[in-house]
Amino acid sequence: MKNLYLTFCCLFIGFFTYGQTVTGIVTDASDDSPLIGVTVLEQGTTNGSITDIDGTYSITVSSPEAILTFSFIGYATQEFQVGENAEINVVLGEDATQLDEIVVVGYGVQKKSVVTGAISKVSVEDLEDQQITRLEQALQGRTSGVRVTQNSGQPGASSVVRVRGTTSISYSNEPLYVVDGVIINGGIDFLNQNDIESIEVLKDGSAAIYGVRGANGVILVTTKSGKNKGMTVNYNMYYGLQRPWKKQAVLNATEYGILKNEAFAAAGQPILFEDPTSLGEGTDWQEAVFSYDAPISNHDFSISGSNDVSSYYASFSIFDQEGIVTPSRSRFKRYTARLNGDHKVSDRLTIGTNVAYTKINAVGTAENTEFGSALGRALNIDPLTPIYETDPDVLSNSVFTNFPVVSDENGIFGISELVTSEIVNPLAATAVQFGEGWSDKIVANAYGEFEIIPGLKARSSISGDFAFWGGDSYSPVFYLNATNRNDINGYSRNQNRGLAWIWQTTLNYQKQLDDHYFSVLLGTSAEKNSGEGIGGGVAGLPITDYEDASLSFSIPRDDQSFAGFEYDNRTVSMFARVNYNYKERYIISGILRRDGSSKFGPEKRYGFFPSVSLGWVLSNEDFFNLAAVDFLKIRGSYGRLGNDGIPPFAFIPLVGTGTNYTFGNADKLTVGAVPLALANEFLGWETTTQTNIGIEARVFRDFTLTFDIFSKRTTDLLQPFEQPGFVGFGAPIANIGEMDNKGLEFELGYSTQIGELGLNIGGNFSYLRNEIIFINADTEFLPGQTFGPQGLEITRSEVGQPIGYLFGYKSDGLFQNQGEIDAYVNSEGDLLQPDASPGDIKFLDIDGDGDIDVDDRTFIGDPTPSFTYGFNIGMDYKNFDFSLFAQGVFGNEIYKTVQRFDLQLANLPGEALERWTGEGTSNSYPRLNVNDPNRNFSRSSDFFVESGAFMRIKSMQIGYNVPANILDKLSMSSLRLYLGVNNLLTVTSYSGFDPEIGAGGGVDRGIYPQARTVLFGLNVNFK
Amino acid sequence: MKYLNKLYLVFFIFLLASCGDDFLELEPKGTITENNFYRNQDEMFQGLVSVYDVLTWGGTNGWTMIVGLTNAASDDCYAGGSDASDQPAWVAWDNFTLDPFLGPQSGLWTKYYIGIARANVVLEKIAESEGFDEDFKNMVIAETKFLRAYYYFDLVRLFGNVILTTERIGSPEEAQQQVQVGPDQVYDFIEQDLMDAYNTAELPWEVSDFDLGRVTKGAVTALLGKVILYRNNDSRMEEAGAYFEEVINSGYYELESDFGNIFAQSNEWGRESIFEINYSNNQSGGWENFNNGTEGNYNTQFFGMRDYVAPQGYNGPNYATGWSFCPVTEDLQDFMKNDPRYEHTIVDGKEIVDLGGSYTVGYQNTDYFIRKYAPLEENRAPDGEPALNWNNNERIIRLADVYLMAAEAYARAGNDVKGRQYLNRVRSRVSLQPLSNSGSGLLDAIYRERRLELATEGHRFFDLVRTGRAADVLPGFIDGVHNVLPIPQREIDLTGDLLTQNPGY
Repeated sequence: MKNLYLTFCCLFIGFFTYGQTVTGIVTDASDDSPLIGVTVLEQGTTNGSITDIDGTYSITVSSPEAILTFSFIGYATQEFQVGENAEINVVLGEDATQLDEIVVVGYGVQKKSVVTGAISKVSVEDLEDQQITRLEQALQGRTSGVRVTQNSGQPGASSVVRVRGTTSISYSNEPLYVVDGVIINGGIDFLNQNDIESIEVLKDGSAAIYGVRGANGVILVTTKSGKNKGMTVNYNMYYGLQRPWKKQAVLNATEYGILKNEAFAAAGQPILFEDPTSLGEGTDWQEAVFSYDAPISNHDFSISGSNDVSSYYASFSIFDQEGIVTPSRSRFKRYTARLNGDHKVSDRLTIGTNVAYTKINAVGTAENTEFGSALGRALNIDPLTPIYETDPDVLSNSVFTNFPVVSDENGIFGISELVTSEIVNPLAATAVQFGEGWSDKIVANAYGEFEIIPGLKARSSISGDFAFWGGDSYSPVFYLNATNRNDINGYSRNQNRGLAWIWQTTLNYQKQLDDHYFSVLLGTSAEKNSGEGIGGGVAGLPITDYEDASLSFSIPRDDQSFAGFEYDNRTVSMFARVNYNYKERYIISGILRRDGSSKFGPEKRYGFFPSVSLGWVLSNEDFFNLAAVDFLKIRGSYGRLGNDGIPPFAFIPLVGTGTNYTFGNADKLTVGAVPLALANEFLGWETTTQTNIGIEARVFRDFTLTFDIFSKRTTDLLQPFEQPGFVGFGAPIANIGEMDNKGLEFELGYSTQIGELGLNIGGNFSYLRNEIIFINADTEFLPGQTFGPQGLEITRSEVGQPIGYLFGYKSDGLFQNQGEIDAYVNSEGDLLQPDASPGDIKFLDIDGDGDIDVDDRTFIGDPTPSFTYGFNIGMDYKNFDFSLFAQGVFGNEIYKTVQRFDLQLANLPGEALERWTGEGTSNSYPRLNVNDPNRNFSRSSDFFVESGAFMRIKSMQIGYNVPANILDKLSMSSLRLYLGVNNLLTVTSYSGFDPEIGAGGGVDRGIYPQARTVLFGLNVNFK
Repeated sequence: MKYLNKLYLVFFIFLLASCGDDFLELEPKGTITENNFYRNQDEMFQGLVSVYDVLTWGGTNGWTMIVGLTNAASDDCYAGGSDASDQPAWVAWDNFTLDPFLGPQSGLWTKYYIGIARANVVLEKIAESEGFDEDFKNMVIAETKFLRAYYYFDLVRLFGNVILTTERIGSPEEAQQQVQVGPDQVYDFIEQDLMDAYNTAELPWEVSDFDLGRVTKGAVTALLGKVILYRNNDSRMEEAGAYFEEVINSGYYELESDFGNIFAQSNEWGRESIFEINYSNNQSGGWENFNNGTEGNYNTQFFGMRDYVAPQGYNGPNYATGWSFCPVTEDLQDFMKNDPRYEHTIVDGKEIVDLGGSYTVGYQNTDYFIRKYAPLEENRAPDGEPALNWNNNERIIRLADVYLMAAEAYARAGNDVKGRQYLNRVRSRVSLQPLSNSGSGLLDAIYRERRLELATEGHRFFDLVRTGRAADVLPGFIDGVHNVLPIPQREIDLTGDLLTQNPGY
């Protein structure tokens, strides 16, 4: 019974019409002791008070109609109308509902206190003061066991999300996203942050309820519904300016001249610059491509409310972000609209719908590539080339007179005479790119729920995820340099659409029989995810501007191109879940799902995914009498999950076209066809088996703690079954290989009230270790990423190592003199590095076979952090609030390879100024020599590897709640103004733009960094 | 209440029934299940096209154009490129520092076996086919066998000891049952395929303009002679010579009167051409198609001068820029400098620089570049990635080559008269004096003539190896080792004891 009684003491009758003072004492229902730090608030205002050491309070209210709320963590909040009372004494009881916090578990909810799976939750309160642009960011640093790494700072960029590590070696590692019960197939960027009520992550065997797609974790998103009586109107907005927070040191023109001269002289070649000091500073290319005041803004408007039979939530938002790199080619704009509604048709029948529409327009610039990204070019192009060429001598040479060089309103872009290949003037390259991508997406579902008999509910829902997406692109005639030019203009456009529908029906029965609680869920699901797209292009349009580009020009057939695609994947499933507990002490839960997927052939079409979990709530035992421990639960789970993230039809032999040849002098191809990969009719699921043991506790009333330890093994790894080349056909996909993920997770929370200061602190910490156990009988490793046109191998996945580890030579400083080179010999007395000169890198003979060759390449770093953590601090004092949220990783390495060492005249990093120039000058940055006979720069080695550890203050914010007397005049019930900084500080030793390189898999090729944003915002509530 | 329960039960059963196997049974789109293909002549022809397709591949596991690579391996060219690390595989072959991991072997091995596997599929499917025209059927078989022989010929010249797959490998288990055989067995098989094609009555000497590129009787006959020549058995030289003479006397081919015209774009499939690989820019491919996807000739991009800018008002060939691979050696330049074919074989970069042009100096720069497949502005692809879409056909077998092979065959058979006659036929085309050498002097003259006539066309390395002269001429070449490439280590790793590495690697 949480209901308590209030005591009226009618000692005297107040006669003030305003400024009435109320006092009283608040006590604990269990032992009548005074409660310290209880918040007493006049409802709908910010007028409040706190109980003192004796449990007493005093507050002046505006009118007898005022309602006072008494709230205290862990206790049920109570409300009283002041009326004519001058003293209100309150007895607060422990809040059972607080422990009864509800957790979404897939096809239903459970009381948190009896949940036996490892489920992390992010709720609306955690996100209220954050400016996240995509759902994944809401999880970053806030949930243990979920590693979220933003791919880059590009507006709209997605994140790499790994729930408890990487489970699949060759195929999808994306978690399954389920929004209001709808499985989302194509991208989660349609969600508006302010529509999110809660996010739950199923990390262990509890994900078995999603069977074949549960292995990578399941992220369940619940959107808001109308909760308050009457109508609530909210408006939130923020506006900010973003700028880069770091530049990378590169050589200026004079330094460039000196160092290039040195490098040529060292190779015995003539120097290039007679008087390098005359070159001055030259062009700062980073300054040129970065934007230092890129705006970001969000406006969000919602109306919600409810009465006894209906509730509704409607919202509209506009989000607009410009990028900090070449902003004309880096933008993201999103409109969202949502209508959620529920209606009780009768006592037994409830119906509801959720409808969301999202429109996105986005443009992205190339990033994290050595083959022509704006930042990669800015770091590599020489500082001698001007942004705009003004020298009449240069402008009169044949390049400028013969070719369609690029210009804008400020002049003709400079062309480097020194650095070639893809490293063109980054601004010129940006100026010849046109077009944008767009998407329109509607996610809708409708359900009906009928209570057949008390406790037995049948629910059926139909959901649709309709997506329309496409884009266009225009390329004018241009000349950037000898190898990057376009002689004929072209315009292309594509339009695609997809529909994923799911029909899900469940029967759910719950019953409390004395001390025994049962619930049984039975369900079926059928899903079809299909779509199609077409795209076409024309070349040689009679236009010169993107604005005039059109597919309706009459263009000769030979200059038209066309392509398209279709897809269709289907799943049918049955599932069941049984929960039982005795007095909420002993809990057992079992899940079984059977999935059938069209991606598998008749031999392996259906799979079973069971899980079982147990829980013991010690704090509910009669013998449990640790006063400090309010709640203590031990739980364990074991489950089997699947992954079907492979292309369809890998199980039957297929013939594909596109193996063409040209006969005669005809301008057309003759189409050829050939059997594709060997087929594997026994292709089946990838299976991940996971064991989890966890503890949940609440101690000293204010501290909550969750601890989990897990072990995951993925077997039957889906991967191409590598075949010898003489087979002559592609590898079949097969179920081979094993991989392990093991880890620990902590979540801690502390929340208290000290006088008028409210404080809450949260933190989480995760450790993960990934190891490949087995690839295939004859395969010890799978190749990974390469760098540059030469395809230098820099990552591998190998048995006994973590997935995608950094791979190369290990070094031991630099040779300081010839004596050290001569002394570096094998047992035969042969020089290990005969091509080396003093100042070159000394590579280690790892395999000890007496030479330095490819076999000496080894593990030089792990791109996956061993540790990830996050913490937040929230404080409020009177009308002010403050919050800080930080997040970080350690135990990972980054392979930084932004310089194009294959281009002799590419610019060099600032560290080159500290190069070796004589004995003792450096033991880390080798000498410069254009021929690089020791291959210091052209082999993969630990020279390029740095620690990727960082701690980032993602957001810091100070807010002010406008006092009630002003609010009344504005007809508002609350108004909060705030100033914030996102990415205020990144603590890292990493020398690149940004240590957070989700897109790179640990390889930084010049990532688009995240911006530092200074912003102002407000949250208004009308009632 | 009971009524409602039943209703729901029915509802559930209905739902389950409706979601059975039928729902999950789908037909692929954009691809065809193999059981439904090769049913008519059009589909069978598409199968044949896929076998031709492999001829153009230059991007299998890296840059693996056989003409460029063998130029670099020979004494005609260096590897080149931007710097020593540009293409380590090319440098390794150039310097004979190959090992089982380093070198172009992986791509070449893979490429030729894909061609062979495709040929095996066509031969399997056509054997199973019913109701096709007999003419069509025989033509397809003959063409496929020629192509299979062509791929095996390159494979055996490159690797010596190879897996001889004569039927399609359909499963990982079958892959593990293959056997490695020596060159003799492979050559026997090649000859058999070529003999089968040679004896196919339907195979024409000449095809219509629309079919240029398809295998002809001439191509089969010339290749058959060449294969026999490569077997290095002097007792069979008459036999090889006879095949060459059949081509020479067929009346379908003639030497170009102007040597410079042989490699002109306008003269693809000219009267001297017996077999060419057709390259085109029709695919308009980009980098995403690099691996076997474009129909362009990557050699051309490789051979061009890097960052080339023409001299103002230059009236020489309108070169396009390239990547400065295969710079011509001083040795070849010196060897050719007084030969009338020089200007059509070697580009003198110094001359261009003297006139005010420029290019970036690449690795192993000699200032001499390949002329025959050089990139020219007029051949540059208008769309797609131009670097990958050069349309320069490769002249694989041309009549001058056949003359010189005939000369060699007869000289080795002891018929110096015919040997001289065919040699001098090639010389007289470029107005060189006839030679009167005989015996080994004649053979030497023929070999010299081959280098002059066929420089940078991809013959030189194989000629040096098959005639046992490679070790004398190529620094770093060890006879008995570098005659062939190492078998890719991956192949050995994936097959356990199935494959033995070539000796010396």
